[in-house]
Amino acid sequence: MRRALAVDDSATMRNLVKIALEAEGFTVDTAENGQEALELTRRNSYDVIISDVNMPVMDGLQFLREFRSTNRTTPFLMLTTETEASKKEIAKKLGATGWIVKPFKPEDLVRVVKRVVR
Amino acid sequence: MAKVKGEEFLKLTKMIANTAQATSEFLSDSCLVDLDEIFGNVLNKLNVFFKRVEESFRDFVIFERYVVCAYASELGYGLREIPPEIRKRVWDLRDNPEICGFTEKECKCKKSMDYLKQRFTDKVNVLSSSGEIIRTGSEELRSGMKALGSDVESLTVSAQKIMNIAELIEIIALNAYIEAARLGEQGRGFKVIADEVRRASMKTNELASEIVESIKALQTRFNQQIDRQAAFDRQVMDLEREQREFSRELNRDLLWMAQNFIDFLEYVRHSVEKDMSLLGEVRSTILSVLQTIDIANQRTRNTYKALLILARMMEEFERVLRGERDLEEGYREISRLYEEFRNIPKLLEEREVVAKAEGRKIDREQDTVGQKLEGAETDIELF
Repeated sequence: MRRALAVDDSATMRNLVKIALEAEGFTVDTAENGQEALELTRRNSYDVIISDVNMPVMDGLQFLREFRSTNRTTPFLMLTTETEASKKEIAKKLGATGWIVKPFKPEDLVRVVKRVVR
Repeated sequence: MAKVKGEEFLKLTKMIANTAQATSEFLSDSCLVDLDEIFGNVLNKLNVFFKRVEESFRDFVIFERYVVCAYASELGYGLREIPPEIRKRVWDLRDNPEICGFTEKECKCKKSMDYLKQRFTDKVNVLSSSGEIIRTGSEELRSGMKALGSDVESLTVSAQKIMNIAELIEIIALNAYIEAARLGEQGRGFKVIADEVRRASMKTNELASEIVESIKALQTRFNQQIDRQAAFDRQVMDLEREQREFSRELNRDLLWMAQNFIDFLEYVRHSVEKDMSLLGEVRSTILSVLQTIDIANQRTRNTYKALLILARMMEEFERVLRGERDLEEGYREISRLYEEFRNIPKLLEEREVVAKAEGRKIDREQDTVGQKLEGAETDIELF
């Protein structure tokens, strides 16, 4: 069974991602911030990571930077309200796979996740 | 006068700053919706509910396929009577090893249904062969009786011949009697014998007539019995035909029942599919509403931050006006606060509001860094 990690400081958003992906047969773990997520990635292997950008403790871009220092292959999607090109550029350079702007349609999220997960 | 105006202006500035400060506190304290508190449990329960409904639906689909598979196995021969498109669907399902987890050869449904079919066919065959045995026996009996009838008929002929001979003897005896009478005393003894022969001949003739009558009566009874036997044969044949018709009708009724049952299952499945689709839409709507509320919360938080910054800017402006802050220093602080304000908006709409206030426009094309995902309603870029 495929496994995903949803990272967001909003529990509602975490649940929304969880519901959307579990309906497609994914097992979904969740984390409240980048630090918590990073610890989960050290213990578990994921097929895809979906992370918010603006979060307390450790933001999504910092989490991406640290995660990519040990893992270059796992698809990493940013899911955020941020729309600025400069933030997207940073994420792209750090190795993000894609950028999804909130609000999202669950079927669109599922579609892009299926596309990036091999 | 100028001093009074300056004081009034300071008061106004202070009031504006207070208003901005208080408004931000209003937003901070009371306006944010705690989504997790309100929807957290509902969302989880809803998710569990959807999962259960989906599992039930999957179970139902498997059940329906089992039934269709069993139907195809049991009544396979009868499929000729089913419309081609349904027949194809049934055979396609039957040939699909995923239907009930067995291949066609190993299919338990098929095995059990084949067994039932064989048992049913055997019973019908036993019934049919019983009729056949009775009919054959009856035919043999009838032909035996016919043969006996011909023997009786030949007996009648023999009796008739005896009667003819007896009549001839009687005539001869009568002639002998006449000749003996003409001879007188000499022919007396011969006359007695001729008389006895004539009486014996007459008696023989009477007996032969009785035999012929008896044979005729026997023959009539034989013919009646043969007619009854023929009627019995016809009844047996009718019974056999009814048995065959019953078997055909039973098969057709079974097919009809099975077809109706499958149609019913299909109807239920379509209804459930519609309900599932409706539930999916409900779920999608709920997810969409929750996201909208979440984003509205974020906007409220941003507004709160912006008002707080505005209050601080007004305070700084007031200090400058009071002469408590150097104009250049005040300008730097207000500029720093403005930069802080510009960094607040994350949503495109908020950024557009700030850009509009600054007299510029956001070029959405320049915001695109990756490849837009085509056909998606969500703004998605792939790098």
